[in-house]
Amino acid sequence: MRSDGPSVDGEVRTSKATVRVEGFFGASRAPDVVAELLAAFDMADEVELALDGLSGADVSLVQLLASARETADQRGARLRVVSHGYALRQCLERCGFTHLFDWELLSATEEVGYFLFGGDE
Amino acid sequence: MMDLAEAFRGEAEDVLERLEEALLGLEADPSQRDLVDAAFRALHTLKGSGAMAGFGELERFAHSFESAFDKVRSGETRLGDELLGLSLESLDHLRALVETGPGAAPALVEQSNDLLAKLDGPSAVTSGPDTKPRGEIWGEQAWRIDIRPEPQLLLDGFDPVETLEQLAELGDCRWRGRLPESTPPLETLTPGHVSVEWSVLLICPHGREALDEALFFLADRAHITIEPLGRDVRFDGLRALGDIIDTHLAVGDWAAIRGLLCDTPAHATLAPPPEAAASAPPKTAARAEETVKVATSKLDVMVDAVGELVTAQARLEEVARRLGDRELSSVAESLERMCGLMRDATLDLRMFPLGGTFSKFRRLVRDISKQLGKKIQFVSEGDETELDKTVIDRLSDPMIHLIRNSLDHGIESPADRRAAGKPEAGTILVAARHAGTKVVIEVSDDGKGLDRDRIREKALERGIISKEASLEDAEIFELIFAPGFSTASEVSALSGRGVGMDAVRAAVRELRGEIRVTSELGRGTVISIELPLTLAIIDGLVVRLGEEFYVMPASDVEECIAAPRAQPGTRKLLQLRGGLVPYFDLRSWFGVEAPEAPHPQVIVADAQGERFGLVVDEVVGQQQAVIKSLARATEPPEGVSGATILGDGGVALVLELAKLGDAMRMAPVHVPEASLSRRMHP
Repeated sequence: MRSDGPSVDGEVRTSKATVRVEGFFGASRAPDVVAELLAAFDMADEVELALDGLSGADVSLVQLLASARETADQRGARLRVVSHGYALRQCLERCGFTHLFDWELLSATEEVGYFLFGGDE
Repeated sequence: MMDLAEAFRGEAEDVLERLEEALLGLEADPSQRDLVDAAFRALHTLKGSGAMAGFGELERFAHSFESAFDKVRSGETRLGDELLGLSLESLDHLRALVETGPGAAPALVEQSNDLLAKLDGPSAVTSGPDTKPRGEIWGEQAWRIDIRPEPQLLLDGFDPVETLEQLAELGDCRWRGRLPESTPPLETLTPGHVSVEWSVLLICPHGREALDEALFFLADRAHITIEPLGRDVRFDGLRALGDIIDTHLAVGDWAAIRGLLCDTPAHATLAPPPEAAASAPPKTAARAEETVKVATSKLDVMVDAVGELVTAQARLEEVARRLGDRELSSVAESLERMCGLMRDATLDLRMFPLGGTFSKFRRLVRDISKQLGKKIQFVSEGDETELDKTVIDRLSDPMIHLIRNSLDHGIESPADRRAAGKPEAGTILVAARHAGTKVVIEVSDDGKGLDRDRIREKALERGIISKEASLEDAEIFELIFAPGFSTASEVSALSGRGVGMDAVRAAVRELRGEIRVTSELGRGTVISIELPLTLAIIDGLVVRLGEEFYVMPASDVEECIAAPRAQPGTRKLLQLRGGLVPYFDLRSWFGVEAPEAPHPQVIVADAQGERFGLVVDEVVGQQQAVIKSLARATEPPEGVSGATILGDGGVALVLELAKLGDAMRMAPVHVPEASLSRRMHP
């Protein structure tokens, strides 16, 4: 289980920052990842939430994604959620959210929808 | 900020109390299924939140303990004395694991293993609850279930989706999650809190009981509404209904019009989630008001701050009066109203129901009565009566002592009770009620009562009273509070060391309370404790003696009258509306040497049920008094409980009227004074 914290490509404001979450994401990890995402939004206009190392998650991940999207919208930033495995999809299905993410959450940024269901695999 | 382990400890204390209450209730009546459920739920909560906080050994132990109770729920094991005894031992062990923290010592782990081995073993001796209900019904029933979990749920180790998965085991099931309409950005998100709500559609051949069973762990941690949609629902309608939920439409009318449902009541029962929430079942209604846990140390800081505010407000009022500034006076008046509101609201935050403390006594009575081979039932009344947290905490030990006394000396053995024509089982009743600005707590038993002659004899032996003393029953019973008094012929481990009742009275008086005893030989004893609702701020009556000011609790003051002409000595009697009231010269008591006032007054007080008067130079007026402790290095004069700051910034001593009353009773009596006219009420 690992969250790398934001990493910055380049030093200008428009650079991309990545927050990587690995292993199981549950409520107890949420505060740390929220802090890292906020730091990432502070330093970059494009934030990538890398979930390709995710092994599982509870519903707090759904809330995190929705809030991250809201933050991106409010700041005029871009949020990319990258997931190469099934863990994210499984979490969304298990929590009864696939529909909502298809139509509402994911439509906020084109990239999210693209990467979310394996488009990048 | 509180760390996870500390937060867990706070929560675990409540959960363990609930568990204890359930176990003791089951001991009285093992057939109470709701108590089995409550115990099971408490163990599940402990397991989940213990795991989240990293209390591994506790999680392991609670898990196996929970499994033992699951067998009771399923009817596999019947609940007998052996299992209940073991469960109470296991409860104590859980307390030790909570206290120890995340890394349990090997000795505790070994103890866990011993207890778990025993919990695996016991079988039943008495009747237990019915087996786990499944509620099979004929045909298929469609249900709509809306679930709004408590925000804290995930952090306590519960995954609500697990419950949804359990529902899915009952039949064809699908659910949809809903985020709040306004999604918070990361800046305002409370990480880990659940804000998602779920709507579930289920078609199954089971009745409501089966649903309740599947929802068991969520029942007291979520707002749940269950709506029967109808029977014989066509399966292909399920997806359509699911789609309706996805779009948040009111499904009832739509489904009925489309012929998806056959039963007409569907019209009435299918409501969109907000309306369903409004018709919450009573079981979950109590959860509507969310609560927040706050460390008592934070409340103490707040009470202190409000105390300072009250003092500053009194100062402002004094300045405004002195300057004769109307505008300033108006501001001071507004501030006074706000201060009053804030004071009441802040003190109210510290008020807790006494029930939590009473439930601890239930266990005490259970354990000690077994130890003594007596049959004793514990009954409590007025559990919802609230009292300041500090008072409750400091009252616990004195009350334990009183209950132990009743157990040890009050209630007779079963044989003695039979011989006396009483039922074998004795009763200890702890009852609380509000009485004006005070709370009265009574500890009573139906035991053998106090032996008047024996108490008198013992008091003579110990030199507490003289041979010639003529005492009423009430005065004789009072002797049990004398230092070193004991009638127990053998000193037991529980009580009877002769150091108890005087310490109990001292503790109660430190809380500005009073204690009284009434008893009837062969019938039982009642010990009554009267306490102020709060300790921090009182409505005080300010009086002057020479150049010094004193404050007494206004609730103890009955009236003020003009003092009779001076008499020698310290204790005198005045006639008041046909009765004699002893009165006491406070100037002598405090050694005030300043010249006497031309028109001294007598404050007529009622403390510990005794009326007496106190002569003062002047009654200055009323003021909210924030009571401050005196420095430890300062030995306060007898009858002084603390100090307070007056509006002009000066310091006044706060009087403890019960102690002054006692001192007065010890002084020599003088001739009655002529009747007096009443001058004013405070």
